[in-house]
This record gives sequence, C-alpha cells and structure tokens, in this order.
Amino acid sequence: MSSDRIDFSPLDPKRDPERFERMVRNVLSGVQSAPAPAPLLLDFLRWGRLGLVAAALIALGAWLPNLYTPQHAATDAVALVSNWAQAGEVPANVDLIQTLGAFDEQ
Amino acid sequence: MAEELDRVLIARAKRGDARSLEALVRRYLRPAFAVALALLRNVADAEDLAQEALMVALQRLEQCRDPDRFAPWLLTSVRHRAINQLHQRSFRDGVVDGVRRSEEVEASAARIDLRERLTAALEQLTIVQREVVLLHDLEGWTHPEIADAIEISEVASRQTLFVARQRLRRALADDSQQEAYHE
Repeated sequence: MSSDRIDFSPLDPKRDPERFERMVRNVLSGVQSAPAPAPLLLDFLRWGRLGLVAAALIALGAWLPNLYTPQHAATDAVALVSNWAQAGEVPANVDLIQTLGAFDEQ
Repeated sequence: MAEELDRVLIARAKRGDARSLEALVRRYLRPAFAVALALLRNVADAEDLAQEALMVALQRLEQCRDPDRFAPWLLTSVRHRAINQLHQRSFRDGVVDGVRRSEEVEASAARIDLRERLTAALEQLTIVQREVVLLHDLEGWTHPEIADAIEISEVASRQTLFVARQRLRRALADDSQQEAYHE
C-alpha cells in the first residue's frame, strides 16, 4: 500500500528543517504574544464577588448604628413602665424622669 | 490513541504548558498545510495560511469544547480561511475558480521543477481528492483519521485516494512526455 504513495516530499514543509523550525517558532511566538482572553464568566464572577462584598459592607455600615439607637431604650422604657404598672409599683420621680426623659429624647 | 494524545496535550496547553503547545504545533502544522495546499494550490500561500490558522486555533483553545475533535475543528478553520482567501484572490485577479491560473501552470509545467510539477498535477484533482491524497501520502494519516477530519466515510476516503492517485500519475506522466517532447 505504501509503495503506491505519491512522493510529495518536494512539497513537504519539513523538507527544509530550518524553514520548518522557523514556521513552528512563528506560530508559537504568535500564540504566546497574544493576550490570554479572560473568559466572560470568570470576569463576571470576579466583579460580581467584589460587588457582593461592597454591598454587604454598605449594608453592615448602614445597620450598625441601629444597634445603639434609642429604639432599644424605647422598648426598654415601655417595658419598664409596663412592669411598674403591672406590679402596682410607684417609681421614684428620678426614675420616672430618667425613663420618660429618655423616651422623649427618642 | 491519537485522540488521547490530543486530549492530554490540549489540557496541558490550556494550563499554559509551553512544551505541549509546541507539540501541538509540530503535530498539526503539516496537516494544516496539506489542507491549505489542497485549496490554495500554492505552497507559499498554504504555508502562511497554515501558520496563521494554527496560531489562531491555539489562541482560542478554550473554545475547543471537545479535545477529541481538535483535528476536524482545526482543519475546518483552515478550509474556511483558504476559501476566504480564494474569494479575495478571485476578486483581486478577476479570475473565477482559478481557471486562468490553472492554464498558466499547465502551460509551463513541462519546464519547471518537480515541486511545481506536483503542484500542477494537483490542479487536476478536486479539492476533496487533494485533501485526501495530501493528508494520506504527505502527512501519513490513516483513512479513519482522514474520514474523521474532513467528514467523509472511510470507504469514500479509500475510493477518493485511489482515483486521486490515478489522476495524479496520469498528469505527471503526461507532463514527463511533454518535457521529453520539448527537449
């Protein structure tokens, strides 16, 4: 079967090893010099993650001050007065002023 | 076996392994050239196109979803590029289907060297015949490999090779007779 082959060696790029090596180098340098295209999904994930972190920080920053807002105090004042009323306890004036004063400030 | 090697080389090349990349270039530069030559019928143009197509294919290796199909994927790209170049050439030269080019080569074939005689003889074949005979006789691919790469059946590959060789031998023999006559 192989004896039937047409001899194409005059057309073979490997007939001239130096030239063939130059061709190989051309292709390799072309491949390596091209900037590696970052896949769109990776870009999206990279920026998406940063966006999520930023959004979480903003949300945390907005929520933290609420920890110390008088809302707790307000709840506490209402609870305190309720407790006094339920127990039939008469608070001292100072306590009353402090509690209600704190409530008013809210 | 060949596909397994491709799979390994492509996986490594994707990870940036320079040796695997070079192995792929050495492995596929000549098949790319063979297909380019089958269409362009010009050795220098085919060499340029093969380098360019292989370079672009390797740059876009991430897009090759099935490494087992690297050869057909690459050769399809070579074929498309060669067809585009032929269209540009026909616009530029005002020659349709390379007819005038073919006549010019035939007329002078008797007096030029073996390389050009072979190129001229290849002109007598269809594109598929040229692809099959070059991939088989120049590159040494088997019929299953050729059939897979250019999307024909193995039987068609064998038949095409048989006819292509007959036509080539006839063309080369005619050429030799003409040469003898001129001398």
